Amino acid sequence: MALRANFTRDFSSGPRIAAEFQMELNRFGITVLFGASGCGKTTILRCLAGLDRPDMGAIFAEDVPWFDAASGRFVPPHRRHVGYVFQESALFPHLDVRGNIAFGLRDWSSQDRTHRVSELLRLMGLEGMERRRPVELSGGEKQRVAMARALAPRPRLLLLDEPFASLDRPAAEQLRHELRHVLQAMKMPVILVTHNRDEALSLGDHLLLMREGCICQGGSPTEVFAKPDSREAAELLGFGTVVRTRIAGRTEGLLRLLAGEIELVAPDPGGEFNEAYACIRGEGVSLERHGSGAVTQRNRLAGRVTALHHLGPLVRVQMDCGFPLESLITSWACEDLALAVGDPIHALIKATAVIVIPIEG
Amino acid sequence: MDWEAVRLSLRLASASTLVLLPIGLILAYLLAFGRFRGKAVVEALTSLPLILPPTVLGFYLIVALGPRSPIGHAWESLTGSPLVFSFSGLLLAQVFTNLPFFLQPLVSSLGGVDRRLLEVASTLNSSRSGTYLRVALPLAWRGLLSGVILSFAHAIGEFGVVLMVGGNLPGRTRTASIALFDQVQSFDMAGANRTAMLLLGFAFAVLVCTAWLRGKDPLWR
Repeated sequence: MALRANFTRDFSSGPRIAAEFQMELNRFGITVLFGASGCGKTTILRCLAGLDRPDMGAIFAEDVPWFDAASGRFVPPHRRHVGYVFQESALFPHLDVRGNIAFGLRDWSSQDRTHRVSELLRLMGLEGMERRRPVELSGGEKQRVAMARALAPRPRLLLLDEPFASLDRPAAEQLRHELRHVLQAMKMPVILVTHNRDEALSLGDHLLLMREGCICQGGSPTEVFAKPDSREAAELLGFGTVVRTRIAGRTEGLLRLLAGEIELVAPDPGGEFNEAYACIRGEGVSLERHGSGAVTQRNRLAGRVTALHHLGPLVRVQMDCGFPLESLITSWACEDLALAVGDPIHALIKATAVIVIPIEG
Repeated sequence: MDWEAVRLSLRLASASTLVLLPIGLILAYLLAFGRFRGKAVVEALTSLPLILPPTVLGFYLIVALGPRSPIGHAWESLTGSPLVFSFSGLLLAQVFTNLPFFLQPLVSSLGGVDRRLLEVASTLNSSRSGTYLRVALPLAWRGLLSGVILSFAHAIGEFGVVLMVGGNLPGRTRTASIALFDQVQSFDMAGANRTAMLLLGFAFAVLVCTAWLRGKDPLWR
């Protein structure tokens, strides 16, 4: 059983949203739609659920057309058996927790319904809260109820639209961890929309990268995060430094790149090209106060600190090393080095931390 | 006090509210959630009784329900009695006249229901009508109750249309508001005052109820 989607949706303002992908139904797997806010992720989910109607293309669940522009077929949401969880839980305020979870079980016998509701209360850690109203629940509890409600009727596909975005960090991590086990036990195919990298990496089995309305890259999350195939993908995936370079030389699987006058050494991805983007994660850049001599890192750049951004336990250091370079270090390291804006600095980058994206032509 | 007229008023208002309920629920759904051509026309038609002089409405209802009209003719051949100047004719006229008083609070309440809740319901195997009954209406209960109360109260108070369509037949079409008119005509000022006080007290109580339902400042603290 496979879900095949290939459709577009136009809006009077903003870019055209286009989706083309396949995924397996009937077995567990989390497909992550990853992209910046407003790039069209939610529109794709809404079209899959039937809450929104594409303008062109088709959506097939095995041989059944959920939507087919050619024949004008459109299956309404209540006949698709697709679960949907919104960012802000959207619980029915006039029903208690039990009533919310049982909402989709109207056609079940009352015995089956009671049994199913109890099962989900247990799975989602909501025992003892059956009689509570949505206003009496915390954000995390609400989202648990919303998931239990969506899972109760055994949907063929579960769509999660930024389900952890409204939760505080510990609650989000806890729920994320539990949810993966529950979904796996239910053999539930899932599409998760997020703009959070941790979430994409920790939950995703398959990653679809979205940019300006289009799916621009797909693959396993570790693969996509390690090897973006475009400059935009690299920026989206959190490479702090993306710089355009010329190829100065190739030897034994290594490339010598020139960013202006500055030389960088990087692994050679192969292929014919004269220019490339060098992409470097902040985590891959170490800092050194005084040049001490021999180090293993192939790239050793002298520069000056231009800005410091404190991000809780981490500090993002921006430098000018002939091109703008970014490093992510712990706040302890920052204190030990007594870094300040304007200080001279040496940046050390392993060759393997530099990802090369060839520029064609 | 003409208790017969008061009883008739109550009977007529209850019956017209009952008949109005299913028709009004369907129309409210269409007006609140429907997307169709001619929606503005339906909206205008159902609001017409709000601003039209009752005599105009009454006149056309007589024309539409009279023995020479298709409806009136069909009714007479079915039941053997004419539709105008009867309780059934009055009932029909009342349903149409009171429609906007039912629809307006309900449609505005339905418009305030969070759309995402309706969308969630549809992803939980709930059809449109199911979602309307199980989510939209329970959440718009204030509007629904306001609509029922207002249309009932307006049915009690209606004068012009009742006089035009019903005439003034004791026990059959003479309601409390028409009895009051009769009492004034025959200079029974004490009786008129009693009837008027009753209608005034009732109308006031109804408005207090609906104001409270709207969640606005109640008239007491």
